[in-house]
Amino acid sequence: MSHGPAGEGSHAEPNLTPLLDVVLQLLMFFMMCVNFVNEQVNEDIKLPQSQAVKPMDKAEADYLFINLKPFNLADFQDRLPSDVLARVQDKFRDGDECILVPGKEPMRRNEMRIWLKQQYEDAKQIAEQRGEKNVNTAVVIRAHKEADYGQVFEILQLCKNVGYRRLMLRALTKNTPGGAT
Amino acid sequence: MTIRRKTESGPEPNLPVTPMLDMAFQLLAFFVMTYHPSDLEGQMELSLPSEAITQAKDKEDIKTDAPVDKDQDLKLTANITVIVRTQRDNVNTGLISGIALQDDSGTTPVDTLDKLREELKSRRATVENKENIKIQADSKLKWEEVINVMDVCQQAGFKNISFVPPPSGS
Repeated sequence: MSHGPAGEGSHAEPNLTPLLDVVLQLLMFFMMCVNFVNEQVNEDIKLPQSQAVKPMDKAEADYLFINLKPFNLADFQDRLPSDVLARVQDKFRDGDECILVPGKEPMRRNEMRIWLKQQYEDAKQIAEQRGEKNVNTAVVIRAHKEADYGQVFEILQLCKNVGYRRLMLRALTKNTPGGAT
Repeated sequence: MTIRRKTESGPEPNLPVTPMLDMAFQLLAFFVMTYHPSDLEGQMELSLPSEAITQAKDKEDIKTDAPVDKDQDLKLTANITVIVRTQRDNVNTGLISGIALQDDSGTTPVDTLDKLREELKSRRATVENKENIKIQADSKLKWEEVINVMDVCQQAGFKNISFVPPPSGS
């Protein structure tokens, strides 16, 4: 872009500074709005919608997330290292009950029981160190809408048997724009 | 702001705005593209499963702390049970195939969720326990449908919903 002499010697230049200001404002807005996906939350789970759900309590600190969905190999295809993938492929068929927990390979229910027991014991020790009597961890169950009632029920039962007293179910709030899938 | 003439004396501070704007636009485009307002997630606190489970538990090996089990307050005593049936085979995909209401007097079938809501509302006036209700669904029922039934129960005014184990063999 050359700024050649334009006739009388003065040339009109658009003033870009206010534009830049506005753009930076917008930029700031969108940066703030980026939702940093909570690592605990599995995006593959399509939650059912419900009108009865309440907004989450931010003050609550102790959550244990359990994600449940029918197994689908495509979910894992590009995400797991090949050796893990082979193991997973071996263990699950499409449509099987599959329990996903942050930081763990997909589990079956009996594996989950062992894991859950361990978690409970750990939580209990920590609670005792703090001088609390009970484990206050809330178990949050995020079940895929295609999951079976029986599976969810078994998991609830398991959590209860292990000793957790607070169970929560996650669902999407209805009437949100773009909520329909 | 006046445009100064080049011939004026003194060095002119010249901030190159254009490249900065270009970059800002790039970034803006990126964030606009990735902007994905996720649906609001909410949660339901669950009333713990009722007595049938506590009994079932004794058969299992997990017996970590006894006092918890004796916590009688956690058991829900509900007068009404909503029974939800389903079929899942090649044709049916786990949607609701039948709803029934069970109480002390017997079982009455209900056609739709809307009718269930009306029925629950009218029965709620008469039952002793106005907060609690139980849901017994078939094992193969889709979770989504269970949530729908829970919604209906809550709309009818029952706040504490508990689950009954699915009937065996379903």
